[in-house]
Amino acid sequence: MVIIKLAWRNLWRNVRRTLITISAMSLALGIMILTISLVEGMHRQMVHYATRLFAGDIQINKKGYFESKDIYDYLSGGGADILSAVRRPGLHASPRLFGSGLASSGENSIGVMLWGIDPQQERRVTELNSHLLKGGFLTSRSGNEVVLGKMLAESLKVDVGDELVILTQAADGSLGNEIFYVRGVLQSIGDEIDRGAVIMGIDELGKLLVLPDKVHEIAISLNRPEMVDGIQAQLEKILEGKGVEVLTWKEIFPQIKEMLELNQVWMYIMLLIVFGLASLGVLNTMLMALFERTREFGLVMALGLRPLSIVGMILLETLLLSLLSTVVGAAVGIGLSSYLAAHGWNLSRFSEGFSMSGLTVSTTIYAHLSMEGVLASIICMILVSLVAAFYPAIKAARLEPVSALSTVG
Amino acid sequence: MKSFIKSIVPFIFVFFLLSTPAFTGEPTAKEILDRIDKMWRGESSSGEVTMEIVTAHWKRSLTMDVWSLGKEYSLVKITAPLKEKGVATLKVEKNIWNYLPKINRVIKIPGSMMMASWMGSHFTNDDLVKESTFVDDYTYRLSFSGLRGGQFIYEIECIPKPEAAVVWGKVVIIVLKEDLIPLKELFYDEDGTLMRTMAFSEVRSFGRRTVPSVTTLVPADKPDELTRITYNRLQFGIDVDEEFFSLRNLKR
Repeated sequence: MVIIKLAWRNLWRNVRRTLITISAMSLALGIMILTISLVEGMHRQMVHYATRLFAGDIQINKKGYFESKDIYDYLSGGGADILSAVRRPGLHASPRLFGSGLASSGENSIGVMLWGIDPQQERRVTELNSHLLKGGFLTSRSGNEVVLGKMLAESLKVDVGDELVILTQAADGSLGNEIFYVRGVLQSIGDEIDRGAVIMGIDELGKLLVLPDKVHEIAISLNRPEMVDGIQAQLEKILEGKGVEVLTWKEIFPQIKEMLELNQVWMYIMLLIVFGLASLGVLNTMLMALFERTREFGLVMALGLRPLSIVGMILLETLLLSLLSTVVGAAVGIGLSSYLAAHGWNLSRFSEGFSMSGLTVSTTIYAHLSMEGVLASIICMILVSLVAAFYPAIKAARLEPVSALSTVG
Repeated sequence: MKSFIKSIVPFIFVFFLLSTPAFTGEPTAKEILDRIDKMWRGESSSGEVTMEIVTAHWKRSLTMDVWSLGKEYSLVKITAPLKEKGVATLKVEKNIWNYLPKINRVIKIPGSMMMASWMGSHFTNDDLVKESTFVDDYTYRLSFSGLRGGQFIYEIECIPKPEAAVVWGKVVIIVLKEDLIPLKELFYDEDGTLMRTMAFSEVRSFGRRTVPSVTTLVPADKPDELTRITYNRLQFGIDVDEEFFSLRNLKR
């Protein structure tokens, strides 16, 4: 108890030095919390873009479809057996059918991808329906309405309500052709959709491609996307023997996964530097204090304080110092992170909106504050300061009381 | 239509054989190709064709009426099966339009779709619009002459000139020495990989001319698939002009 009191008093013997040290450490902690929050926020945003626009967290295809994109690699019966097998709380599934063809309006014709969806299910899995630029979204599994990408609409010179002819090679070899009407135009959300996607009801596309009740993909979104790997393993087990493949967004967008991992490494490197500098600050403070207090240490040792207690006292001072810094630093870090979580950090001053792996990425970063990040930062901060204080503490414990007493301090 | 063009090639040879006072010695590669290129230029024709398509997933047969004028104009109208009846393709120079009677619309095929399949067959849209000639757009040499597979043949290797608008890296033409009727054409990509083989058979007389009436196209990567074109009827030197090859006639 006495030692704690002593340590506290010692801390405030040189108020300015202590405050400067606390500022440095708080700043380091604040930066750490903010960086972790921003990186985490960016990651979540990237994953969100990758999964919620169209891909979903998990996709189930007939084995081989993901590689081949062969229209004959389909699941029969509308994928009903798989849809019912994967039904569980916190998981939404939506069937899709794909094809390719030619979209034509007047003099303009363009090769396009044809996406057949179930609009009711799809809106629970992805946010396609909320990224409309104009017009409305599809409402039913059939009907001759389509929604298409913005640049595609521009290239075809079509607008909401206009006629669009779709021509395709059906699965039975015949020439599928039908007139559709543009119901909506999507915002610029990704190269693939933007330039080449014509989206219609799944039953309508099944009719056009002569693939009735066939499904190429079942897209799944999770209420808790962070559990994606565990759910993937579960689904694989349930669907074993059905000849299907269960893929997560990490396999669908390997570039994004790798980029996020690389980002993480950079973040650790940066944090290492920040904490390295902070620990040097602690080391410096303690060493300076040691030189200043040589006579004092000599005295208390002459009075009978054992060397181990000296080490304890100095470490205790450091601990108090870092606890104070924690309070200030965490307040700063959490405060700034919360602000950027709510309002976002607009980077458009630095760069135009960019596209990554075919996904249009927003220039506003929203931080994501996580308890783990904050706790890890605090523990790191405290550990690093204690390690840094070890050297001065041991140096103090080794002082010779007599010579220490005669030091002019 | 390319297949059509290919099919009249042998006819040309025969015609020349009959109309010129016999060859003195071996014809050169240029002579062979020049005859091919020159003879069908300005030629007009009409006929009826059956196209059989076999793929891993389906098999079907289309019957169509065809008209052509030179290499710039052609018109194809499907007459059977019922589902496709009336579907028509018009080719004028580098452009292709498809007419779809079910929806009563004409669609222009964009340049980006030139390598896509024509009517589900193994022929591409590009095969239809191709207007290159072996003599003008390729460098060529007689790469083999003699006995192969029990037949005396000439083999001519054609490499497209750098500026030529040709999708192939190399085309090898094999003709029968005896009557100069082509047996095979082998199409290679730029890496020298065989992409498809076109074989000619069933030599038949149409009017005064003798041509192989069957052309079989086999894609090299899917040896079990094929598209076979059979000329049921073929007439040369018909009375058509450019006006016949119009969008109006496409719909009719």
